[in-house]
Amino acid sequence: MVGPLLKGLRVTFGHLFKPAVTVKYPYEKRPVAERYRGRHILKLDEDGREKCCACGLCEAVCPAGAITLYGAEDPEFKRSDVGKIAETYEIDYARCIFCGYCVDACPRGAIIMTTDYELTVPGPGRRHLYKDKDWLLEKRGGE
Amino acid sequence: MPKVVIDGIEIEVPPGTTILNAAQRVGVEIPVFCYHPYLKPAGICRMCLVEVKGVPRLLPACVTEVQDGWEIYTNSDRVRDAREWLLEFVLVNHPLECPICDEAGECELQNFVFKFGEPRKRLYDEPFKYPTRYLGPLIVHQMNRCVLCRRCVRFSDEAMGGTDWGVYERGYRTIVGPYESDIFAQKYTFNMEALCPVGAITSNIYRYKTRIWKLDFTNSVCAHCEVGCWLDLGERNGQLLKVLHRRGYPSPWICDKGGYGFEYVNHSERITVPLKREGNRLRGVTTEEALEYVTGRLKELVEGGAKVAALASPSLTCEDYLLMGKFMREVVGSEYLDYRLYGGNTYPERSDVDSLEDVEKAEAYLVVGEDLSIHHPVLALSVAKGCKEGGSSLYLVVTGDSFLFKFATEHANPLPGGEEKVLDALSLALEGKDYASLLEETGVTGDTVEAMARGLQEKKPLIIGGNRLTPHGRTLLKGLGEKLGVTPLFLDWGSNSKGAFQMGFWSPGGESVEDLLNKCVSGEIKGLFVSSVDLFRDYPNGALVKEALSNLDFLVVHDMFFTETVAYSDCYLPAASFAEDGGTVVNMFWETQKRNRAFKPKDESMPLWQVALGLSRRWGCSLGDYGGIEDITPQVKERLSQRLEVPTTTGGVRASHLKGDIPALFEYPFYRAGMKTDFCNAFVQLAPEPYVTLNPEFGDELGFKNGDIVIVEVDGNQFRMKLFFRDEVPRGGAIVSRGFSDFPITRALKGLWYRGIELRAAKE
Ligand code: SF4
Ligand code: SF4
Ligand code: SF4
Ligand code: SF4
Ligand code: FES
Repeated sequence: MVGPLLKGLRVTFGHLFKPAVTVKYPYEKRPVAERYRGRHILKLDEDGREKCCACGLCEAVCPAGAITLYGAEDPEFKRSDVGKIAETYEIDYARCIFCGYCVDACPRGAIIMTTDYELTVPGPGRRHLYKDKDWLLEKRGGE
Repeated sequence: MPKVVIDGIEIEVPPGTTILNAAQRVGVEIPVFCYHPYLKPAGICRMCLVEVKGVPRLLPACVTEVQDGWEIYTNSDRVRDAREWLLEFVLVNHPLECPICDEAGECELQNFVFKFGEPRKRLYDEPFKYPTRYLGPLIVHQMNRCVLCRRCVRFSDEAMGGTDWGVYERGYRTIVGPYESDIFAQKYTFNMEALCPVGAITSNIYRYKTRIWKLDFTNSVCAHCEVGCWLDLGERNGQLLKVLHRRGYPSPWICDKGGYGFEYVNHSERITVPLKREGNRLRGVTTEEALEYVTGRLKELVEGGAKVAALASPSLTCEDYLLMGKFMREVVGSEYLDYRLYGGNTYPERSDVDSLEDVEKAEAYLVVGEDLSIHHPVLALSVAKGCKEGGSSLYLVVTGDSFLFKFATEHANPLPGGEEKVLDALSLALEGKDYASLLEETGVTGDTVEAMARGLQEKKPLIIGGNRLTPHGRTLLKGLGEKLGVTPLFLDWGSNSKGAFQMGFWSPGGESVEDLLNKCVSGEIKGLFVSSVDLFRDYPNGALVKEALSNLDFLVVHDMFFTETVAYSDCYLPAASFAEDGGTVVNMFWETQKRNRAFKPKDESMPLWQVALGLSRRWGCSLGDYGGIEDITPQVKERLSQRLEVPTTTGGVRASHLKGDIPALFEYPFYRAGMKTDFCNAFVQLAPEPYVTLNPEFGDELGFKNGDIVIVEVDGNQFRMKLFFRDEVPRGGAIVSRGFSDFPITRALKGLWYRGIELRAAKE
C-alpha cells in the first residue's frame, strides 16, 4: 500500500529539484531553429521594389487556401522591375498551416518565412489574423 | 476513299483530308501553332511535323493531304526529336516570363514544352527586346512572345477583309502588328486575342488582374445583340473579370462587345441599393421599404382611375418579360407595355433562315437599312464570309456602312433617310418600271439600282432588313422579297426583342412607345415603370421623353446606374446584370438559348422577374409560386411555341424630318451600341464623345477640316462636337453619333434616326 505511494512521491520530489523545462512566455522566449517556419514577409529587392509579381503560384499551391491575391500593372516600373505587382496580397493566418509550400513555389523568392511566431494580439475575434500586403511587406531598412 | 494507318489505327477518310484532320478523327494529338480549325491552313510553324513511312522528309500534318496506304507515325523518335528541336528554337528568343504573362495557364507554348519539349536550353542568344505596345484600351501586343504563327494576321485578312495588322520584315526579325495605328480596336479585335496561342496579344482590360485558373467559367449568352453568341463568363469573387468564347457557337468568332463589353457589371458607380425620393433627394432605403412604397403608390394611382405603363429594355430575359407582363396585366390591370425603346414601330417577324450557316451559304445578299457590323456584328462577318469564300454577291442599301462595303458588289449609299426610297426604286426596277423620280434626293444613281436589280434576278438573294427600317420600309422589302421568292430576315434592336414579343410584352392595342409617351404627356398615364434602359440615351426623341417623364405622378426606374431617367424617378430599384441572373433568350433566328447565372446579384440588386413577384406579393395578389428561374422557364417554353399575330403598324420616313441644310443619320458608334456601354471604361475611352462625320469631299466643299470643332444645330438646339472625315459617308449627308448618356443628343430627334441639321464652325 505505502510502497507504490512512496514510489510516486519519489518521482515528484525528484523533479522538484531538477531545472524547469517550461519557459515563462511571454517574458521569456524559447530560441527557435534557424529554419523555423514562422510568419511570412514579402521581400523587396535592392532598389526597394517589390519582388512579388503576382504570378499566383503561392496562391495555387497553398493547401489551406490561405492566400488571396490580385495583380495590377505598374507601367512605369517604379514598384516592380517587371512591371507587375500584387495589388492586394492577403494571408489568412487563421488558416495557414505554416507548411512553407508558398515559399517553395515562388519563382522569384518574393515570399519567405521568418522565425517570428507571435501573431496573436489580446482581445477576442480572429479578424486580426487576416493580414494584408502592408503588414506582410518587408519594411525598408527593417528586418 | 484513301485508307491510312495512323499510329497503328486504321481509318478511311474522304479524299483531300489532311493528316491532321485524319489524326483528330482517331483521337491522336498532334501539336499545332499555326493551324486553326476556322482559318485556312497555312503550314507556317512546322510544329505539326509527322513521319510517313517511305517519305524521306517529315511532313507538316496540317497542310499535307493523306494518300491511300500511308502509314503515319506521330510519335516516332524522329518526330519527337523534331518537336524538341522546334520548341528549343522557339524558346531561343522567347522571354519565358510566364509568371507575369497573362496567357500562362492557357498558353499553348507552355503546354507543348511541358508535353513534348525537353527541359534544356543549348542555344543562347540575347532575347528580343521589342517594346510592349499598348494598342488602346482593348489589347496589348508584346512582340517578344510572338511565335510567328500569323493566326492574327490571317484572321484579319480572311475574316475582316484586311486591317492595319500585318507581318513586316523577314526571317527571325519578322514582326507582327499594326503598321501605323497606335490604337487597334476593330470591332472583332477580341478574336485576335483569343486566336493568339501565346501571350503576344493579351487583353488590356484583364491585364494582370488575376490568373486564369482562379476564374470560374459559366456558360452564358451575350446580352448586347440578337446574334446571341455563347460566352463563358469568368468570375472570381463576385467580379466578372474575363470573357471567353470557348464553345464557338453560333459562329467561331464574336465581336468586341461580347468579348470586352462586360465592365459595367463591376463598375464602381453601380448603385446596388434601392433609392426613394424625398423632396429633392433620393435616399437609400431597404428593399422592403422600396417595394412597399412602389406598391402603395401604384395602387393609389390605379384606384384613382389613372393608367400605369411599363417599359423594359429589349435585352432582358423572357422570364423577366413574362412575370412583369403578368404583374401589369393581372395585378395592375394595365395593357400598356413595351420593349421597343430604341425607337421604331415594328414587331419581330419570322424568316426561313435558321442559322449563320444558312447565311453563309446564300448566293447573294441584299442588306437594307442597318450597318450590320454595329448592331449585329457577327452576322456581318458571316455575310462577309459568304462573299469572300462563297463568291456570293452583296448588294448594300445602307447609309454610311462601315464594314460590309469592303465586300459589296454594288453599294447604294443613299443620303440619310433615302434608304427606303432606293428600296422602292429597286422594286420598281425589278418590274421594269420607271423609278428615276424616286432617286432624286437620295444621291444614288440609276446605274447602281439597275445593276442591283439585274444581280438580284440572277441569283436568289438572302434579304436582310435592318433595324432602321420603318413599317413602310418593311412592307416594301417584303414586297420585294415576294417578287424574288424569298422571305426577308428582319433584325431588331436589343438582344431579346423576339422573346419580349413572344412573351406578349407589348400593348395589344398596337400603341407604340411614342403613343405611350404621348399618353404620359396628356395625363392618361400617370405611373410608369422603366426597366434597364436610359430613355434619354436610347429613345430617339429626347424632348418627348422629358415632357412625358416630367408629367408623371410616379416613376419607378429599375436599373443599374444613375442615369438621366433615374434623375426623374420617384423610386429606384437596383437591377441585376446579365451575368447575375439566368433565363431564356431568343436570338435573331428564333432559336431559344439559355443564360446562366455566373454569380449572385450584388447587394440588393434584383432581376426584373423578382421585382414583379415582390410587387405583386405586396399588392396582395400572387402571380404563382416561383422559387427561382427554373419554375418560370416551363411557362416561357410554352409561350415561345405559340404563334402570335403581328399587329399591323404604320409609319415611314416623314419628309419634314429631313428639312434643314444637311440630312443626317444619328447612329451609335460601334463601341457605344449595346447594353450599358456607357459604363464600360474601355469603350468609353474608344468613343469618348459624340462626333459628326462627313465625306471628305463634301467637308472640303463646306470649308471644314478633319478634326474641326463644329456646331450642329437642330431646332435651335446646339451641340458642339468634333468633325471627322470618313469616305463611306454619302456626299451631302452627315452621320452624327448618338448613344451617350451624358450628352443629350436625342433631343435633336423626333422619333426616327434621321434629321436635317445645320453645321457651322464653332467660334473659339
Ligand atoms: S505556409 Fe503553407 S498554408 Fe501557409 S500560406 Fe504558405 S502555402 Fe499556405
Ligand atoms: S507566352 Fe506562354 S510561354 Fe511565353 S511567357 Fe507567356 S505563358 Fe510563358
Ligand atoms: S501575335 Fe500571336 S497570333 Fe499573331 S503571329 Fe504572333 S503568336 Fe501568332
Ligand atoms: S454583340 Fe452580338 S455579335 Fe457581338 S458578341 Fe454579342 S451577341 Fe455576338
Ligand atoms: S500547324 Fe502545321 S505548320 Fe503550323
